[in-house]
Amino acid sequence: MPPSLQSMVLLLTVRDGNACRHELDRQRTALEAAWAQIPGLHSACFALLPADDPATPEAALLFECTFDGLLLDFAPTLYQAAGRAFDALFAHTGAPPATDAGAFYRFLSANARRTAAFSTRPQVRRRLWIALDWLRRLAASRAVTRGSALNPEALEARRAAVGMQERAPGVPTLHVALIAPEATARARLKRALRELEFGADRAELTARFLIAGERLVCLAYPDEIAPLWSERMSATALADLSSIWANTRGFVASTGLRRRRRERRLEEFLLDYRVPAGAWFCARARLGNA
Amino acid sequence: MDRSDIQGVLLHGYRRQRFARYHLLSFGEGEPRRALTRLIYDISSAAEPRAEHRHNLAFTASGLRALGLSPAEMAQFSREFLQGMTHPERALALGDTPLDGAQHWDFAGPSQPRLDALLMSFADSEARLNEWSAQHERLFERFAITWQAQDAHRLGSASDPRPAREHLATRTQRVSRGEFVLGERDTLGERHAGPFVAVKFSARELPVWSAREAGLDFGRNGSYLVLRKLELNGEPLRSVLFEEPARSKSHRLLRRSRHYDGGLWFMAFNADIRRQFEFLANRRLPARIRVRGGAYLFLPSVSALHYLAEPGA
Repeated sequence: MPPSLQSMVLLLTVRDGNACRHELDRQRTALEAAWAQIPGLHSACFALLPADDPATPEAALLFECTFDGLLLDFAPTLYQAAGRAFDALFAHTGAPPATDAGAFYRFLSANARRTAAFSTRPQVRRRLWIALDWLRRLAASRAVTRGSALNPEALEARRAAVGMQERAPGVPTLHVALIAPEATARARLKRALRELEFGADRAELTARFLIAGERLVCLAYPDEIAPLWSERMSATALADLSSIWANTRGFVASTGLRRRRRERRLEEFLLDYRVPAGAWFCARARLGNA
Repeated sequence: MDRSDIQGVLLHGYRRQRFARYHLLSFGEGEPRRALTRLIYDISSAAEPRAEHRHNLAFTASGLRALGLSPAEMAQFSREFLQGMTHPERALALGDTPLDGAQHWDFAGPSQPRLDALLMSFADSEARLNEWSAQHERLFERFAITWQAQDAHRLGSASDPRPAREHLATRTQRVSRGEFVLGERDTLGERHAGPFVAVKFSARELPVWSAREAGLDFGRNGSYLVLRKLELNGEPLRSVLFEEPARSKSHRLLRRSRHYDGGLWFMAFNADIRRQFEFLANRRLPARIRVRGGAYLFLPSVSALHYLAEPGA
């Protein structure tokens, strides 16, 4: 990532998921219109992560933005453009309304989380590590299934919500899955994410990962529609993505299967374990449409 | 592969049968099961020798429900099929514009009778097609089934007697049968089993029993059928060609499209609507082309048709 490009992710627990969803629907137009006017903003997105499992009983509000320069300089611009909408949404997380741009900056910087950027650029060391990890797993068992998937109702709710989201290049794809209950899963996941950061300079073009409590979140602004992106990523980054998602529930990583089968498993998982973005902006998509 | 259990239209393009008529059926308050009991003997399987006429039958989700499949059995069908093409989610997935909306459709729209089944009749002459259609329409009348008949003809000019090379045909690469026929091995070597249904007592041949699922494999030798009526408004046929990604064999469709005056009856078979048809169709059609109707249907095997015609579990 170039030094001038900053990415920030906030993930805040929401008290009432339904009320927050309605608020997000109300503020969507105002947010998207405001974001489109902000110079130096590359992408931004608000999404509500559902509380669809006993392990995650509370919904969470996700805010992501990628921008040029420092947060100290960018926060006042963001506050000036859409401060009211931000206040209305963050109120559902229990945060007090920001009285000025300074308070808004302090709130953002206090809650910003670290993400693992992801790139598909080949890396010798990473490839070697992945190969060794696969060999280790192959020796341990042929098929690796960790924890149970989402229940059918929760999965259907996700599919229905994502199905009604606009399908166009640049619409964020947001994958959310629960981390497997095994004690070693979290450590393995962190190690896999650390490995990804070797090729972080193309992060904006691909995806970024975030561990939040029991959830693993992946956010991307693909240049094509979600089905095409899922297929392409499954083909080009099968080992990388499998080593990450294999530590979550619902994904079946079968080392004994042929590559094409494993690709399809990953593709279907990526399509099914999505949640829709409530409001979004992607400068690249706007340029593409123009 | 049991060709005698597969409906003919799935494996054959019926090139000799230039004339086609699609009866779009609404069961309403009628007696579809009794009608099916008689209609079933006219249905052509893929194993039948060459004939002057062919008939094949497919159902929408509402049609299968009306013929007695339980909610638990229906839930095993694909999500896209159960929602139907008029569902807003599917319209988004297909990239339909508001002008392509179901309210403008000639059939299966909100202002039209519900589409429950599609009877496809093919014949080598118009006279023979009319003769068979009259016979079937008498049957529908008798069992209080309403219908709308729409004509189509084989792609290619009438002056050219050679079988036309279909503009929308699948490329000649080898594609596994499982991409179109449920229960066969697909490109990845996997078999798609189900939906499974409860046992019925019958002297007729019913779908294959699956001990693992403790039910009859209703889906085996069947396929999902996509039907779209496209008004071309002067656009060339190639403009509705859904591009197939070169690297992948997993998005193939088996096409059985035919012309009508001013447009195209796009018809395609696939085993997975989301992965195959919707993946390829997700792009805007040229502005002049309008969608005039459409549906997701299920083309059962011959034994599954017998199962549906049986009175009860």
